[in-house]
Amino acid sequence: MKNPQLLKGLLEGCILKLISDGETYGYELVENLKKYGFRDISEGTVYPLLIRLKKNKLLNSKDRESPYGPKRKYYSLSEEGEKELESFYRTWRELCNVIDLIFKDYEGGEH
Amino acid sequence: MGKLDDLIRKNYELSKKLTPENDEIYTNIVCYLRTSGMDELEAEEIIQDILGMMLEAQKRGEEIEQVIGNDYRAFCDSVIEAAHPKRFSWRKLFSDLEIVVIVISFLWLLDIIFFYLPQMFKQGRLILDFQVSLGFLINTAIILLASVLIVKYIGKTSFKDSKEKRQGHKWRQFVLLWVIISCIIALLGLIRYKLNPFVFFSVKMYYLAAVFAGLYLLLRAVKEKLPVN
Repeated sequence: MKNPQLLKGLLEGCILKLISDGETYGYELVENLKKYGFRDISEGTVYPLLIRLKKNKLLNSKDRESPYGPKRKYYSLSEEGEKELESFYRTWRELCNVIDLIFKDYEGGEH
Repeated sequence: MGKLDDLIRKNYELSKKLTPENDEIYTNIVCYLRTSGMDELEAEEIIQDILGMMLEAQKRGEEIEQVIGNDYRAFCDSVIEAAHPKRFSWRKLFSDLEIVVIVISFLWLLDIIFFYLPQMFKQGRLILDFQVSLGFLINTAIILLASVLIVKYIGKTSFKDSKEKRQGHKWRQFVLLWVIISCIIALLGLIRYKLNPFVFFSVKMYYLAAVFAGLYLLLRAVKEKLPVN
């Protein structure tokens, strides 16, 4: 995906979903996103988003011991985070439907 | 010791585990973030996170570029933007005042060492009256202003240093810096001596020391109580 603004918003939604699956930390999150197909992603992209989500009180964080260096920050969803995740997914589904409708007879992408 | 000092010390200890190359990148990032206008505690927590990323990458045998990309400044800017620092916060005001008190006390101490001590030796007696003169006040103001500007400048140019400036020019820069610093010191000395006769009031040194110490402790105590944002 090339459009950075669009990607940012979508990534935030995906991050919320992955965190709602279970407490996780930055690097694990990045590896997970990569596994799903966000290939060019790194902690450098994800970390600022985590800060923003946390600043907006969508995430809680807890420090836990790590085998290397400083404590690892594990993130979990707050109540507001759950709500935001739901609203993200609803918006996403609506958007998908609309876009699918508009592009129903479009062939350009196939070639 | 407050939470902030603890965190700074912990980060410093851990940063010793960085390889020399990573340590240089880390130092630049720290400079940039600490002078970014973010709340100092928030900045230090972010520094801790970044240090963690770097150390873990090191353990995995990865380069820092793979983790945060090769444009460190852009990475820092995106972090700062995400943290969205407020232009004004009481915490920031108090921590700025704290620095001002430290700098003024330090300059006062220097003034005693360079100005009063020689007189004490010459006269063979203890001088306990500190005369607050125009020369001292002007010098203090100049140095305070210069320190703020220098810190801002260092922050802004954190990432330039490593590549371009390093090669060559080192000696020329050193000599230039030396000349500038000597001129400034000479100028400050001149102001100090020429404007010394204009005395506003005089105060016992131990009172002044107590005021500085009290002010410093008070500012710190208030700052610790204030919430981050």
